Amino acid sequence: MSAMLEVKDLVVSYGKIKAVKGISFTVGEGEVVSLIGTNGAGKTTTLRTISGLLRPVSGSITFNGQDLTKVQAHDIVALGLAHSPEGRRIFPKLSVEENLMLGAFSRKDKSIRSDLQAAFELFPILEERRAQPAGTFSGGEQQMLAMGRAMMSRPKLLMLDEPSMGLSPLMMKRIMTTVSTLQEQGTTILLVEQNAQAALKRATKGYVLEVGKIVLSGTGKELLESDDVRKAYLGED
Amino acid sequence: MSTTTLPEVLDTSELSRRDQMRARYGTLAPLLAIGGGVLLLLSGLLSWSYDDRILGDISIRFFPAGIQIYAMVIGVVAIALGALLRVRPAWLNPGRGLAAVGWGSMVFVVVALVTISRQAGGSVNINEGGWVALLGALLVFAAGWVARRFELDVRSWPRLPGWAEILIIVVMMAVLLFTTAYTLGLDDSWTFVCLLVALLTIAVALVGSGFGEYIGFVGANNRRVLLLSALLVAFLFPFTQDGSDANMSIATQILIFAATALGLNIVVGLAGLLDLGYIAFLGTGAYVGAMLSQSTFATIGWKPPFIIVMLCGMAVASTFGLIIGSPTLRVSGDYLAIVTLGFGEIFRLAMFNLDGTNGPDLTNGPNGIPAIPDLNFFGFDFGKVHTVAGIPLGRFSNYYFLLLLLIAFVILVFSRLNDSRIGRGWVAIREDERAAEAMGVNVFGLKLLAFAVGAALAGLAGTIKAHQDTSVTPDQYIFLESAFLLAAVVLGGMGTVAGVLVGATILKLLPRSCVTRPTTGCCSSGCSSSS
Repeated sequence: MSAMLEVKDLVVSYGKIKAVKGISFTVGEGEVVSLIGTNGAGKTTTLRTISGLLRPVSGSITFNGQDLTKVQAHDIVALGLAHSPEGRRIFPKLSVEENLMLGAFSRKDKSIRSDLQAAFELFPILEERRAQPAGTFSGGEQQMLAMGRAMMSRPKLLMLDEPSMGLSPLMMKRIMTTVSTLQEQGTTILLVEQNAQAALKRATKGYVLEVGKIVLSGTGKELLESDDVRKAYLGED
Repeated sequence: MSTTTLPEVLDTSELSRRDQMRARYGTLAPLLAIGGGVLLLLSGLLSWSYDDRILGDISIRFFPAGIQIYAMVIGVVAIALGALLRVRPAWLNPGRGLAAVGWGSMVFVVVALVTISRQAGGSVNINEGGWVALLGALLVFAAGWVARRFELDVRSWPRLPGWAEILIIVVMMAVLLFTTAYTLGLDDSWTFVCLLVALLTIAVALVGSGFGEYIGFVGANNRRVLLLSALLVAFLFPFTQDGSDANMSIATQILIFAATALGLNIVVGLAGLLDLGYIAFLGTGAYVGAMLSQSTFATIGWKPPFIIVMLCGMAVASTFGLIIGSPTLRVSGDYLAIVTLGFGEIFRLAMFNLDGTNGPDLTNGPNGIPAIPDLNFFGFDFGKVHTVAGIPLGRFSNYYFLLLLLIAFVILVFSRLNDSRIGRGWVAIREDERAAEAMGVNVFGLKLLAFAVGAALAGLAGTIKAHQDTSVTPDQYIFLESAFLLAAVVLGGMGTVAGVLVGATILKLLPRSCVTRPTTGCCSSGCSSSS
């Protein structure tokens, strides 16, 4: 079985500064893969390059057998790759429903309405407040909206960029439970996190990034138990 | 300790004093309002001024004219609100309306009385009617002050039968038509000011008391009727002008301005791209219209029918939009504004210099292309007076009707785009470009489309403008015009149709009415009179 997403020797730079220095990893169908690392490790840059918002200097990104490095960002979404960006980036002045409908922008089929219902089932609070401007939401609610919005494009692969950022432990748990739910429903997930504990607990596979390079990889469990990870990310001596 | 408690105490006592007063005297408010209203009504029948040359002629008893009629209308509104204060429907808040009428009528009467005494040389010249009106205004003011305010229950609007709601819209539109025609017919600037105060008073009172929302509700129930009747009113307007072209020439300018502003509204209001050189696209259309016209000064030999000219104007303008847009739309925000500003100037200077000495002779340089003949559609000459149902319709009326069609077309394009997938993409770009990109919105492509569509609509308007103005010169397309267009869009409300129409009308109408209106005896008041 070949991987759904295959990143090979990816190099991305901002001007002269290399943010990602030749990383390779794979995401298989049905997996939850976590990329963990500290600030500036290149996690967000990697995601933005996969979704076409940045262009790589070299290396390849293959999604279901198709090379993504030359494909435009809006076409990548249509291929079934959704990106819930860092900092959530919901549309604050638009209503919850408008936000969700914009998530389905790349689609032209007729089942958008039923997917709206699916998003509401995933996060009932969104249905309660469907007409409310999204900017009035709390951080956790905004994160739910951002995930619901990303799901509206009916992705095969969902990329979540730091969904736990700025959330209370309780809300974080809720979000992480949803990640598992989505996996059970058949969505493959690429999760970028600083919160290693939460990200690795549910991951089938994990990669540790440090200043643009992958320094460690393994199953989620292996990484959680590895001494390096425990020292660097879980604050244990 | 006292510093923390003092403001609180002051606050509550202030509040409770007002509330106490409302509780104690609130029952008097209907009486005061009706009394004041009756006095205002009565004052209309009395003489306001000894001198019969001021503010029209308001010196005759039992023959209300000008501001006397406005006072009577305000009186009727006050009486109605006073009565409603007794009836108290749950969806109305007559108290707030009365407060507006109170303030407005005070301002109105004071402006009127000050004008009379200044122009006639002393308050001696104010006759009994003026004082009665002042007393009435004071009573209404007091009524607004003590009237109780109610919590509104907006869901309890009465549902009238369909025909009655349509009747409301039709009456409203008829009032609008009449008021517009009347306002434009005024030739005394202080009467005009008084009328504006009175109209504003009534408008604020209607909105404040909750009538505005009700009318909005009725309008939303009958969208199609509202739109049709608005178009009908606009269509009937030339028939109120008695063959005079004076107001029609202003009206046509407003329509061209509004059509262009609506085009800009697509770029600024929907896609959120600040374009400060938009007038260049109107200019492009106008130059295409002029160059392909029958004018002997036209620089291109090809003289196709006007339908083709319109299409050419749209095509050329949108091509320019694409040419200007593809490099500039990579920047956004302030930078885009500056770059488009620059392109607007480049257009003007290019038209100024394409006179044959530098490059090809396309525009005759600063002289422009004059003597553009009137349009002729299948034998219908736009330059001639046509009589419909006994009412003569002059040259500008003909162009007015054509421009109405243009506006209808622009509104159609605007609203269809707004409701479409493209419109949703524009909203996403306007709100957050990065997030829009992540949602799969083709940001660059949609921005370019907004630029091209906006340019095409301005180009279309330009081809008509060339014929209506009869000449096209570079100095008609200066930056100031772009700024005015943007002001109309912002003033009316970005992204709306009705708002931009109102904004455009106000911006074109106000300077004319206040400054260049032929004035009769207002020299003492600092209002400049031309000619």
